Amino acid sequence: MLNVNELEVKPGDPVLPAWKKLVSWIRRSKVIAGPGIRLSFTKKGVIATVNREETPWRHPFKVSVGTHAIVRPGTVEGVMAAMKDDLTGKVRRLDERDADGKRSSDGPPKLKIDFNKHDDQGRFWLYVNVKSEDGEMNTDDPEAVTVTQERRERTFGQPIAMVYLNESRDGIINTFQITHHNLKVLLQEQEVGLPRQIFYPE
Amino acid sequence: MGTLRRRIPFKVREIGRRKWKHPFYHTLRHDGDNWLFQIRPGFVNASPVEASTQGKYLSPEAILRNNVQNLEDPVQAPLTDRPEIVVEDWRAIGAGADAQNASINADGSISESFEDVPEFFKQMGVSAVNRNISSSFTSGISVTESERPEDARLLRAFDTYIEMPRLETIVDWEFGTVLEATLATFTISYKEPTDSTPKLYQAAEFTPTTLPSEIDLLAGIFSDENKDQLKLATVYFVSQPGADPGDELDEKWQPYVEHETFFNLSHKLKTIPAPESNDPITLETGLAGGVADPIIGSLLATNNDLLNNARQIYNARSTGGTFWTI
Repeated sequence: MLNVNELEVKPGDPVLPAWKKLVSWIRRSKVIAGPGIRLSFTKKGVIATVNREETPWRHPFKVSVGTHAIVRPGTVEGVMAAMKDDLTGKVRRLDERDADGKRSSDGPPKLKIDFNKHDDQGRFWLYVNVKSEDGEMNTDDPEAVTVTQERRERTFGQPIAMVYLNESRDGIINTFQITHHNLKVLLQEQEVGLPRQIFYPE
Repeated sequence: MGTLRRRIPFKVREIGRRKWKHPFYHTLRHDGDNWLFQIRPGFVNASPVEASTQGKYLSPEAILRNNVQNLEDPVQAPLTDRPEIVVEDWRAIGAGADAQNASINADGSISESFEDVPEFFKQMGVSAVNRNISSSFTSGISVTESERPEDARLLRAFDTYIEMPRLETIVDWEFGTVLEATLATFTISYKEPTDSTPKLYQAAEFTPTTLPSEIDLLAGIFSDENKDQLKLATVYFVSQPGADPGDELDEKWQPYVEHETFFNLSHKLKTIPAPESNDPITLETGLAGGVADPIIGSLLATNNDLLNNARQIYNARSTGGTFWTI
């Protein structure tokens, strides 16, 4: 570091020692590139290029939608969600494993998008649904937690993404992620009707 | 000097994917006339939050989608359409701020309290208000404000928040008599909101509506709210050094956002009322007379069984809502 006070001279004092210190500091000073930074030395000065390439956040229930929806593994009460795979016709776990924990060679399940299933604004939702009996979720049921396409907002289940279709309703414009975490669910008995499902982050 | 020039960075370029930005992330820009803010789409339950803006602050696609006829007209657009919204109002913090509270001391001086300048902005050179007010019968009110450093910066801010409409709980009382005892009957009913869309608002300072006490709501003295609110962020603007409190909020100010909500939201009512919860509940008060207010007053003023029964019933049937991130 340069102590600027050392460069100050009084009237009548020689300036050469201070000038030499300044020149020496300039020769020593150098921009050092850290991780992800590239330096280009030009006549005008240094151009620092910062590469902000980062690993995208691969959060639970992350959705990507085209003609099919792929959903990253996510759980409710520790139970891995499953959805109907268009390739095999079976309901398969999002983590590509079977009940014994064996990984499938079929890749992630792909939910076929029904382009006729949307509201009047051309939107549809992907929901996580929980099967419950007598106010309790059967965590042993491999299909206790499923992901489905829904035409409209619902009061039960948990929306994980909202998708906008284009004007002609045959393609996707935009997908908006709603849920970013694994979930827990509280099944709250009501005076009438089915228990209320209250989802919250794990 | 040539060596120095060659070694000093003069340009920094950013390349690659941008960082993940959370729902409700605020960004700001100045369009030459106004400060505009834009919020990354955020949801309450399954619905995108909507904001009020003018058609001219929407993209061409969003103008078509929202059926905008006149670009100057107000339009309610979902945040998924990425509307930009004009910053309408702000408050000063530090120099130029209005006092939040003021009280007169025994010696005639007046004490004021102001919103604190956050430490981050103090470090940037924003100074707190330093003002003395004294009053006397002879000299009147005199205000002395200590001088600010010439290069001090100013701070202004506004808040953003959302409102979620919900069922409003309404209590109606009726009175009758059986022999000498007065029967007090109360009915709890619900009023549906006309629109259930979550909406975004801005305010110079967000002051959450305070819900009246359970007793006041039960007595029908105050009405229940028909919405729940949640603050999203405070947007601060810092001036250049040496700005004057009368200066306009122009493009020379630097915005900073303090977010308070980072994920999409769930909102649920405490209870979903069952159809039979509209049945009237009758309490035998043991009080004479049939004038409503004194009976409700004496019924609810004391901690007796009737009061506890009434409170339990009200509590079980009232619909206050709660937000949480998901």
